Amino acid sequence: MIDIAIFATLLILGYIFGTFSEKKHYKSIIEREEKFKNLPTIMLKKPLNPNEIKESKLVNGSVVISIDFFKKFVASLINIFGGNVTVYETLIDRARREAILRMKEDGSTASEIINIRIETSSISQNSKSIGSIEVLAYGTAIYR
Amino acid sequence: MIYTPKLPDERVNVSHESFLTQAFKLTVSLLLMVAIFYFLMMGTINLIVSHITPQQEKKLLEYISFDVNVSNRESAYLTGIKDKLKACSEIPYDVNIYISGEEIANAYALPGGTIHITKGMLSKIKNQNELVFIVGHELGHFKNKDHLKSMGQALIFLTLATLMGDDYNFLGHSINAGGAKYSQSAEFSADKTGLELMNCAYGSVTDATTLFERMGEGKSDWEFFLATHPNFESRVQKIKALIAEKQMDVTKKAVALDNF
Repeated sequence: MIDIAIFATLLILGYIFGTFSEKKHYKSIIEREEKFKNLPTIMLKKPLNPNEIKESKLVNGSVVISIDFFKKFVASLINIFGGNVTVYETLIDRARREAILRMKEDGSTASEIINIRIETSSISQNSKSIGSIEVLAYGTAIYR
Repeated sequence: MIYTPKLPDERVNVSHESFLTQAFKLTVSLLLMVAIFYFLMMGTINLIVSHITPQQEKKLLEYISFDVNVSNRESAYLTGIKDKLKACSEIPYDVNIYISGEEIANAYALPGGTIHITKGMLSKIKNQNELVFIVGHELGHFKNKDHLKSMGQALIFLTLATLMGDDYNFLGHSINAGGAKYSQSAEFSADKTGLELMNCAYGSVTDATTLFERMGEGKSDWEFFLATHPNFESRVQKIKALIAEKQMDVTKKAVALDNF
């Protein structure tokens, strides 16, 4: 009986705090994307205009985001029945956008960031622990 | 053309279905799936158990030894009661009865035909009739083959737990809740059989319920919600209803306890 109560409490707390932090995070992401939307980020290896470059440097942004208890529970249920793991979609979406934003913040005075790469890795020690993902975005900032 | 930077469409990569609805749907389907599996398996096991012959049962039980690590001792007095009740029961194999040293009030029927009554239980018993009913109840478990059924049930739990893994501990509890209800009905039928044995062997069922009445005092129903045994109040009620229905004798004076 007590186990069920603990489980339900964790689930409810996971849902409340998970939803709250996700909303807050999205709000901040949207604000910062708006702020940095004039900084071009492209995947080309060479700058659009190779002349007049004063400086170039490596910029990177990485973020680690963890799932909450509720999402883990729903995802494990989806593992049985199959289908889109929708609860993880927001997680990956947030992590990817946050990593790019941090990279842009790293090179905030650049005129463009080229040769962007995004890498993802998952962090989980064993099946019992709550998993996290790391997204790393890096590129070359060009200063003119 | 002049390029004006714009943000991409918002959240195209994210589903808009509510997580709560999804979680609810999935949980319900999973519980349903497990419940169907459980009841199918339980039905099969009950079918098999009801067709098992005493010889097969004996052979099966040879492979299983229950080593209960308590100081057991035999008591001629208890064995006498057990033999008298067993004569009425048509249980086709030997049943041994022991007193175990535990302080908690309990009695159990183990596979292989062994009944344990704890010291704690004996200290609560006030007269021989109460003792006869307890022994009758445990013999009732053997007669109803509850020990085999509960072994089958344990096997299903184990299978489900292995299939599901650690992530689904909550499922275990839900199944236990279902299993507890099942086990409670087994206890009621063991009560019934115990009462019939008592009536057959001693011709009287005086004080059959008094022990449960005492044990049930001051306990809330909530404690029995997930318990394997039903609450004492409803057991007493059912036993009394049965006594009235079968018109069993309750007028004979209860016999005093002998030395264990």
